[in-house]
Amino acid sequence: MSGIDYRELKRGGVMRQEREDRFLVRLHLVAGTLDGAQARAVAEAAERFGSGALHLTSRQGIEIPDVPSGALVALKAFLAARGIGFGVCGPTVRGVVACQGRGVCPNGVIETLNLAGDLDRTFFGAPAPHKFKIGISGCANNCLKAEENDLGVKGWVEPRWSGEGCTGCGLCLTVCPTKAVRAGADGGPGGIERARCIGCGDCITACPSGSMVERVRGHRIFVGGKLGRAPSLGRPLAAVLTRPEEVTAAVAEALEFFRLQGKPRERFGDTLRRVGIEALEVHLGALQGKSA
Amino acid sequence: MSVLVDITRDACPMTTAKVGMALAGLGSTGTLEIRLTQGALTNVIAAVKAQGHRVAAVGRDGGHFVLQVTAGGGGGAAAPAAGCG
Repeated sequence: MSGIDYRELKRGGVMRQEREDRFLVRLHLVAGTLDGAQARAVAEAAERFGSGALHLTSRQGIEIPDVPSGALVALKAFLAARGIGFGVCGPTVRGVVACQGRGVCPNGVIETLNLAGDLDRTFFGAPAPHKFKIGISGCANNCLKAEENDLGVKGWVEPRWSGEGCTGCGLCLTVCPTKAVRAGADGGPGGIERARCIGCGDCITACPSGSMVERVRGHRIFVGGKLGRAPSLGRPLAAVLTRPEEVTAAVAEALEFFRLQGKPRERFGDTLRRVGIEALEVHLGALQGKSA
Repeated sequence: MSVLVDITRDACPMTTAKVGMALAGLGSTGTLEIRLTQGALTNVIAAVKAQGHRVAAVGRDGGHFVLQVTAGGGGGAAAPAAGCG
């Protein structure tokens, strides 16, 4: 076993197990998606190169345990021929996770799977001061837990009360989960407190008269979240980005900021706590200015 | 006379399923009264709008809500949220 660079193997998604000469191989999946042929290939790979076992990870991934070092090259070639790569570990951008989003889920506010593919193609495996996780939730229900990621994206709808046709029924006040819709004198809405709004759009959906309308629909970015030993939730950036290309640009800028400001083995959230989230907002300034 | 659908004792997805069946039988001139809990409001109103109908009035009945639905005139919902979320 001498001569094996375990750190380099780990960077390439191959982790040493307790048992001598057995490795856990992490696969590269985007948004937990693979087709039937690939699923069969993964099962076959586990049987041919491992012990037949598979492990589903907490981030929509698959790992094949019990692979001997002598089988790693053959396993990689077998999977590559079927369009499946090895994952990554260490201080890099990890595989992007996402819910099904708009087009599949009736609650979806934004499209998520194509966005996950774009972000993964652009950033997967890119170096960073520490691990960097990206997750996308298609709506405020937040099934993919945007705030748990170094950079999370969440589908977001903010209301505007037009007043036109409002009957004062008060349903917008009733359904708002955070009481962001303030009561007016006539029982209807008196205004919307943007800082309390969680972008669910329930007030718009519930409004019988159509007087509560969309002010903006798009992607809200959360930065600095993580779990692990000292969990902390990501905080929202001010802007709501209306186009997916803006999200890709924002991720590029956030990563650049992290590389400039982050210390080795410091998570993005810790960097932001040290230098201030305002510094990131300034770094993103030009981009944020273009959005709602 | 309005048809009354009481879904106060149902949970999603039965709430939207029962309302969907009632809406399907509404025709082009009918009216429907839906008695429901606060938790079902958003999804049920989304379903009403999505099928092109209109919530003409909203009432309260004890701890429940009563929606008066009129066939047509809704034009479809811009942002339906019909899932159980």
